[in-house]
Amino acid sequence: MQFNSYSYLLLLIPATALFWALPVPWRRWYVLAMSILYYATWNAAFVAVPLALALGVHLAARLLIAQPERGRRWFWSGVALVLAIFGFFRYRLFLLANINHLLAAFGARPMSVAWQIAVPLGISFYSFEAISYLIDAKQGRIKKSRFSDLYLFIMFWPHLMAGPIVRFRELGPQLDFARPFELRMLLRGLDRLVWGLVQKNLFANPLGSWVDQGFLHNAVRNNSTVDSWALAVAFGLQIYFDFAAYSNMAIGVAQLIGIVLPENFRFPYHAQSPADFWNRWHMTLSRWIRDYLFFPVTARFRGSPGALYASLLVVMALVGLWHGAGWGFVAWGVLHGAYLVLYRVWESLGETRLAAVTKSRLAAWGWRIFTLTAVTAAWVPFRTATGADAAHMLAGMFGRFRFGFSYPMDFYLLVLLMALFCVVEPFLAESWTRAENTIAALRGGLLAHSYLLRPAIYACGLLLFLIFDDRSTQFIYFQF
Amino acid sequence: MKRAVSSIVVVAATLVCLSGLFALQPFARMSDGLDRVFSALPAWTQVANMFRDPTTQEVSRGDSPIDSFRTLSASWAAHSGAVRVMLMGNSQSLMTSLAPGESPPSGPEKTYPDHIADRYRQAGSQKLFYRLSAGGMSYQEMLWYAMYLSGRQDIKPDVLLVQLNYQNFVNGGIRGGMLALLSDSDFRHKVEAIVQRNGADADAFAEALHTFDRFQNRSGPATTSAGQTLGYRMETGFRRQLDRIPGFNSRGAIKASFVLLMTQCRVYFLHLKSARARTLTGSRIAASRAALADLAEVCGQSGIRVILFEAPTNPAVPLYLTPDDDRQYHEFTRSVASRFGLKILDFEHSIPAGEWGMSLNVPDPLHLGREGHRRLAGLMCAALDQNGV
Repeated sequence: MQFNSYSYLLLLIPATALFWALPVPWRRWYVLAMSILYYATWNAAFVAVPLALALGVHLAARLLIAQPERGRRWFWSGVALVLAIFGFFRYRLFLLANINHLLAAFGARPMSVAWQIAVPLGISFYSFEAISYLIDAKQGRIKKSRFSDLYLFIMFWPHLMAGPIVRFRELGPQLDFARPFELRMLLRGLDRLVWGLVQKNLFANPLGSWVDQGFLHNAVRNNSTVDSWALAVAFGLQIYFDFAAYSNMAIGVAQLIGIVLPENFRFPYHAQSPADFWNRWHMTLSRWIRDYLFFPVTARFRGSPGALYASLLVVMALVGLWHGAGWGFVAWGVLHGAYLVLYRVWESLGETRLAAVTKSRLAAWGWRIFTLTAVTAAWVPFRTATGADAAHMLAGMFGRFRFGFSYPMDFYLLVLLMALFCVVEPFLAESWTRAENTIAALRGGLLAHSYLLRPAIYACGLLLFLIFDDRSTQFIYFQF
Repeated sequence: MKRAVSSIVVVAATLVCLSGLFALQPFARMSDGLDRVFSALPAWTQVANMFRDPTTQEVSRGDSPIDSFRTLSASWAAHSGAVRVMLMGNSQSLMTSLAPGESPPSGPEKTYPDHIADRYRQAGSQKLFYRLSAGGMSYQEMLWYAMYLSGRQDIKPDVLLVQLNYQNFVNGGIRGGMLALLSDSDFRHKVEAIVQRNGADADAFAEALHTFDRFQNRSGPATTSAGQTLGYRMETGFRRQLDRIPGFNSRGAIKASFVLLMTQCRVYFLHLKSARARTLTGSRIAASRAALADLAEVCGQSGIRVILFEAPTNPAVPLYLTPDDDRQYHEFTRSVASRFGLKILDFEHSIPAGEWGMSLNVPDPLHLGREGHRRLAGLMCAALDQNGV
């Protein structure tokens, strides 16, 4: 069941009502049961994977807490277990394909796998959460590991499939579900849910149908420079709206049962620098990488810029690989790593005589434009099927100029419209909040706002969601 | 209790508003309002009540061709020995946009393929005519159909009339409704062969296979295992129940009115017309050209006689940006015809400007008026007779 499926949305209403009707001690078991059921609707067999992972991590965490002198060993055992399960499902075919490539180069016979096993949904997300649990335990933030807490933390259905990637210290304390019901909370949850539905069906999906066609092998070979840029922008917008939609729905649904999940996006295409982009895009992943990978690396290589920059590239390559088992994702990560290195070098100039230049308005605008362009270009290897296609498309965008419009005008107008929306999105969000506050401050405004204006807006959003519904589409980040 | 009531009120109010919006058809109203503000021609000039006959038309317009083919098979089986003529084209063969001066429709309006089918029927000739068209039909879709028909003796035409239209070369891909044909294993093998050959038209077919398989797996993402999952079955059940709610099925019509509203905004406010003179370049053209050549080849191999016809174009709406575009396009269509020994019927300049409709206050680039359809039917019948059809 996808978040934007009719069955999910219609079952959500009684499921939420029942949640609030239950006595507080029962709620966690109810949510756990709902979460397992939700996961089973995709594939019942895969319920065993997060269960096995949680059991292994729980055991490692218990031993780690009980035997602090051997903590390091248990910690790494737990991490190795998570990575082994994650790697087995996620990367074995990728690894095999690359080994076969090498074997073929030496004229050897290729290897094959005995059976095909699909990748359990959400494994990239809950694997990272399991590792963060171990890190929190190692750092003494978890005093006692309880299996039911850990299992519920991993399985909690709103964030199970595609995040936000949560830390135990954020979610764990909320999992007693003791928060009393508030109408305001319900309305905030519905706001996010409905907005997510609109973002997915009205914004992301229409772009997706053009992107799917434009990134096909032969299309990439024949696209003009304008087409290639329009397609790269279209994909950048599609993936943003798609993933932001999912995150909004996850946050909204969690809020319906009184749980606050961290934000995942903050107008990423308004980033002022490559570093700022990662403070705005998939923020919970960035935070995970920063805290658990990048900060330890920085601390290790303090005073050695070359090693630091190299490690930054490696970290970002791993971020790319996390997204998918393919060299295109690695290339995307390395490109972002290169942008970050470039920006760090620039920042380091601020400590020299060039400080005035680096802090000028012109430089700030230059970085803004560079970030937008560079991020857009980096989507190309992320989306194309092969490295050769990516190289061809990037060459068309930056060097081998060819004029022409291969697609109907509607496509270019749609991209333009969506891009414009992205530009004004923060201002719209701000105006909406201001308008809400103004209405609420009026006499009887709060009542009218809650029971008239909001339902009317939800109905408009639901209408758009329903008329643009396309059952065959899925969330992009479900693949990761 | 008070809290429970407040939540119920919010949900109930939302559902009431939603029902109201379904009943109100807001986009259609806004669209009508814009038409009034910009003094557009009355809505009845864009004829909604088109003639419908499942024995001579693929009535789903690409959304569910399997059902239509079932009807066609039964219909043609009752007329064994007759010559089967089929026409494939875009919305020009489906729709009527009444020309200025033409009277409002008094009943279902017929298009030129309907007139041809009538003539054949009235003459008692041993010829059957069928229209296999869809709005914005791409050449990959025409090839898709041709490959399917060539493997089905019961619905295989003897003569296939293929519409040539310059702007149509920019359309691409296979629409969702046509993917169901892939459940025929012979047809699927043919599609896979096209994909393996990796010509310019292979992408659309590969994408179609991918989409079909993903949808067949019913598990959503391709990363999960195959087979119908619990989630899929639940969703299907819910959708079936929801579709029984009166008005819920009007989602398609509301979407169409929303799209029309967007188009109106584009034309009225930005002055960007739907069709304008342009040079066609890039991937779509390469794929369309390859698909047309493949179609000729597939039909040739399976004994279907293909006749290409240049669709009429509105003299008031130039489609070619430069004389070179015009020359290159015709050179290409002629080269396909000569390579496969096909006949081209040229109706490009056959319909005078006064017999074309108007769309959003500008001359319609594609759709004929009532008289235009009649004229084209007459010309086409005569041309077919001359060519021994």
